[in-house]
Amino acid sequence: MKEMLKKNYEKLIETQKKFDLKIEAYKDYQDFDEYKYVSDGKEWNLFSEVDMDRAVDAWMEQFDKVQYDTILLLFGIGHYKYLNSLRSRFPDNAIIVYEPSEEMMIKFLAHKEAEYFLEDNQNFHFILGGKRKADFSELMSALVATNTKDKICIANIPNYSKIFSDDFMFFYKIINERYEMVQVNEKTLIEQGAERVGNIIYNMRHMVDESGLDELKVAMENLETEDCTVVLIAAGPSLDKNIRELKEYKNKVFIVCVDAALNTAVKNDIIPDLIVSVDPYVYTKAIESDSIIGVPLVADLVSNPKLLEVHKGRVFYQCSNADYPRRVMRDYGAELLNMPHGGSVANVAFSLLLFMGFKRIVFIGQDLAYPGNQFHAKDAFENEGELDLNDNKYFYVESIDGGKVLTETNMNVYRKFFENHIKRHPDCTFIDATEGGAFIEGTEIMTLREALDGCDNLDGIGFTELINNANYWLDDEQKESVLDEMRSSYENINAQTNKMRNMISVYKKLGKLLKEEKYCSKEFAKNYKKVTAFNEYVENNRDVMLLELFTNGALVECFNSLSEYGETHKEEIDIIINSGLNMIKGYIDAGEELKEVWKETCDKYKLQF
Amino acid sequence: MDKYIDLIDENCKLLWQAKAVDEVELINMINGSTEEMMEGVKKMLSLGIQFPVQYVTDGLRHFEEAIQSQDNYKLADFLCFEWKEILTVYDEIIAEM
Repeated sequence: MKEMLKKNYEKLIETQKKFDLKIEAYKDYQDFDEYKYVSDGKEWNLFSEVDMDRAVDAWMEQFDKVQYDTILLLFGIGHYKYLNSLRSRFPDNAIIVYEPSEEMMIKFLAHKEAEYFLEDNQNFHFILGGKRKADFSELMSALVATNTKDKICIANIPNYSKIFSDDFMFFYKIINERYEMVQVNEKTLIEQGAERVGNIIYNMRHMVDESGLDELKVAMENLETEDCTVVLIAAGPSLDKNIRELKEYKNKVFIVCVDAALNTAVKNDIIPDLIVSVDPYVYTKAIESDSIIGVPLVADLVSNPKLLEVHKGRVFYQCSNADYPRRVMRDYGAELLNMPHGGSVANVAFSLLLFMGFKRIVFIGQDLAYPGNQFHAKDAFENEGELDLNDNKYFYVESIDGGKVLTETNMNVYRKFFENHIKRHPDCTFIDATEGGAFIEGTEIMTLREALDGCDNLDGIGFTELINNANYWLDDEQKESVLDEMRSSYENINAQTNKMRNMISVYKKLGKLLKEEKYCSKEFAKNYKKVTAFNEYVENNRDVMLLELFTNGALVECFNSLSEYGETHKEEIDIIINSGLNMIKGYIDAGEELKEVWKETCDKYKLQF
Repeated sequence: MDKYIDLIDENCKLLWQAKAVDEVELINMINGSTEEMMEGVKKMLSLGIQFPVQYVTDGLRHFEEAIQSQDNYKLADFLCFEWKEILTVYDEIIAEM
């Protein structure tokens, strides 16, 4: 058994290197068939004492609606027979297992059956709880999206929720948060509609002359980011308490300021080394001031063009949600990265700093709550007013001084984002020098002065100078070529939508044949083939991706319907026809709106592609 | 006893699928089926038919232990392989009467 464990463990770390199990501590555990797990002095069965096969058969019944592309997500390994049954019934489906217990993981690895799963590293993935559970939230972020969210089937192993209750809560918390986020994103994309697309069009033109986050990171490589302290300024109400103190640390610490905090920074004579602005609507007057206008800026493809119009310094682009520009730039070796975030610009700035390799991050103005019933620092936004305490959307959370402070759901999501990411970076120091607001788990609480005491940029490197020397994405020839491609995609909108329109009759013909029960006829097969080819075209064509910039209700509905399945072959075809027609409607509408917004944006900003 | 047996099958499936069960419903099922059996046993005795009442008494004790343990496997094992068996045997005897 020990040999088997050693062999299987080696196989596991070949593909999933993050595992670090103490297999040498393994002693012969009981056999699965009489396996009991002791937790807090209580003994739990992990098998049926009478008939385990019967228990497994009953467990398997919950997978009756699993389709070929369903992802099976399990909370726990339990008895090896669960995984065996699952794999033999669904040989090609992806299986992800979150196992909270190292002991159970080792026990499974010591079993000969594990070998089969470990060889299948394409379709089988283990996540171990405890220290490594942050990997799970990373995996969920990658896994749960609009087009996959309904394709995940989650199941638990009996008794696991009671034995490993903390991990169980964590497991579902992460899943629920991710699902909520996908839904909010879908809603936001639809709501922002034309304005968001106008911003993307402006920024697509602008980005060609600029750079991406990789270039920013490389530019900073001369600086020992690991030894450098960075101050991240957000716009919480407590910023007014200590922003002034930051002035004496200019050029000693790297100062990053989010757009909303810029007015307060300027009023207090603080010139940041980098500004982050990723919101489609935010415009801060302070960008117009002489001291700020040339400060390097990190923007998103959806950032407010008004801000970019005024700003005269270097711009480094990220792209949170637009496949078309990402695809175009990738062909020229330029990666439009997307920094993970929980919804706030400060989250984006924080992820960026980790990406750039900073190891000591000091937060100020990061209240994530409303101390003194204020939303932001007083100069952040004009005429903002105070909280309406009668509104029941506000609730209390723990404050940094151990008391309570009012917050609301979105702020809480942002805080959880910080906490989850802080957990993932045990090698970094995170200091909350906000001097107010909500308690952020994983941070050390200090005053700003305490946090920055002794900080000195010994080499006297000018941060702005370093950034300004960053490479540009494209040379002149490449720029011309990218603009040509964009122009051609725009000019192709009509051709694309006409192609879509032509497909309506094919789908309708299929519907008619289906109604007449002629779905085994040659005519049906011929039209079905056309639909398959069309779907492939839609999936891979870059010009079609341009239409997707306009995410509308019909397109989201279409992506959602991709996860529906019919009980019968006929029902299945019916779903394909309806979602196909929905998709075409979505693309045609998107094309019409896109043409209009493209023209308006080019006229408004005098853009030339 | 069919309605009790159906309820046992449903609950065992839930327990084996690690899903929540309604404990009050289970207690009512055990009490209801015990009462019905005791009525039937009286009739059996009047006809001189023996029924192993000790199994029922032991079963009730096992049920209490299983409920208290909160252990899905123990409770499902009890319901499916002990109590259901008692109800089935009872049904068979009643059918022969």
